[in-house]
Amino acid sequence: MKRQWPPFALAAVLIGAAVYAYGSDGGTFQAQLIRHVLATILQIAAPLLAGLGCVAAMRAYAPGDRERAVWTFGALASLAWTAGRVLFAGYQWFGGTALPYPSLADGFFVAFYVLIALALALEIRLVLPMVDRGVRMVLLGLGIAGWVAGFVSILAPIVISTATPVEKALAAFYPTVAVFLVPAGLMPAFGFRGGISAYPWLAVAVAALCLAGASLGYVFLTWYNLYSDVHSVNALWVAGFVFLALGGFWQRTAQEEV
Amino acid sequence: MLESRRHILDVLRAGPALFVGLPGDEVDMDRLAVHLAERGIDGGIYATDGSLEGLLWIQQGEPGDTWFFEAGGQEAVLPVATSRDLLLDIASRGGTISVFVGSPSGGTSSSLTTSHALPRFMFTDGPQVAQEPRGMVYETVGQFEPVAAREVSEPAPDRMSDNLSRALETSGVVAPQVPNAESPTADPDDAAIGGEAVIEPTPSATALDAAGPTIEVEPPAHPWSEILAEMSTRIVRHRGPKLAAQFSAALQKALAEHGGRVQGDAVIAPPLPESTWRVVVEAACAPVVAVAGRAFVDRTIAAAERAVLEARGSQGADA
Repeated sequence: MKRQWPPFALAAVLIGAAVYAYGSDGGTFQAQLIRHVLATILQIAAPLLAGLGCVAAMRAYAPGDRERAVWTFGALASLAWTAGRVLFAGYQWFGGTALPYPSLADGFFVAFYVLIALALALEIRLVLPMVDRGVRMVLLGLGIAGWVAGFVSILAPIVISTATPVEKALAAFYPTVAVFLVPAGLMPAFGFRGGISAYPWLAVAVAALCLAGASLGYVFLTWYNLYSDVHSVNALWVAGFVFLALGGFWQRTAQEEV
Repeated sequence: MLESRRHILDVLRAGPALFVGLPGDEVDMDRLAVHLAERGIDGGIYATDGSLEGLLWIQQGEPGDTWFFEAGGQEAVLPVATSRDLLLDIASRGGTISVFVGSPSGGTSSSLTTSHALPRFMFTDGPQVAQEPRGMVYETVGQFEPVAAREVSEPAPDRMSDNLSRALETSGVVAPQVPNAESPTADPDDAAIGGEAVIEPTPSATALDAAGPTIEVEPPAHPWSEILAEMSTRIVRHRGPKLAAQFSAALQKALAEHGGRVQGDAVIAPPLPESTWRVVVEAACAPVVAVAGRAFVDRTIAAAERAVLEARGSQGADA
């Protein structure tokens, strides 16, 4: 377990920093500035850590192994999000735009969701024969129910509004994909139920849950001009990527401890 | 004192060679293995790409263990399965192929035995000879024990050919098609090296081929029954009972073809040669490889074997 402590320690540092950046309120100008800087760093560091976790998991496989491709896509997805966040911060700090949405950064965020969905689709293809039909149906039902709830309560007003087509498309895209990532992450956990390999996938499912919540919150807050980069909803992004990182590092450990 | 595999490899490489350092992409490994096996040459096909070294032993006409080493270092733990693929991979990554004469049991040159006159390897094609600055062509290896020292009790070339074919085919080391060994020079396509080398056996080598050495069922090099049972337990623990059930079903099917079966947690099988066990293991592991990957399966096999051997050791100590 010697090799595992640095990433877990890093995850703990990120969580601590997130509590400070998104949990506290008010304070002096200097404190506010520190929180904004910290929030920006966190939004870049968290997906970077997730990418490292996915790379670590990837390296536990031999070339040609199918799960290696799953974690490779996971790593690429995380790096896409990191690049998007760097661009987003660039708009905010150097471009004079408080809320760069929609912007070029969204291209990277969309790429993240596409790649992570692809990764989970590859894994589901592997584990599908090991998941009972009843479980599959329940998971699909959960995904649909979550999406309907999110759509009715948050997305419907945006979709029927006078927002631009790009805004409408992005508002619908982010939460829709994120919501379906939750059952997609749970599918391998059910397939490997009873084995230690189920737990990394549980972490991935929790990550998807956090990202889904963050996506819905982000869409809602931006629509009503309530979003700020120190808003507590941002903690969900950090949590999502920390869980994704834990899943990756955990998978690496699990793969090597046979 | 047991010598390390690294030491044995170093001794082997310092000894006689059929050829050294041919570009890997110009060597048809399958046909080379067939050629060595047909002539009953004891030795090793050695491949290296500068970062990894691989050695496939050919023993009494059958492929044996495959050893892998970090370049210049100690043995890398890469057990069974895919050994041929990895060797090919090393060769294809700009690596080189050599063939040395010797046996894994012999750490010194005096224990290296082979035909008393090895077939002459002639590289007829100009560029290939030119690309072989480090290559050595041995017509004979006179200082070593003659092949007469090896038991030749069953002059049945056809049977030898069948056994060899089956062994090579099932071990996955060579392609199923084994060319006729009677007259290697008769068919120019029989060349093992890049499809261009022509092999001219010396009279004594031809006589050896005609006599046909005994091909006995090689004993399994690993306690496969126990390893497979241990693997099943580990797969349940790691990937859950669903994948373990697929593993057991595949194992049951593979064993059934050889008169064995899975009974509860135990793997019951008649005495099987190592090459057959490897086929069984490969078939049983296929569903796990598909999901968890080759590296995981190889690590699991290695860990299971260690556990089995440790359990045996502790039982021996208790006794």
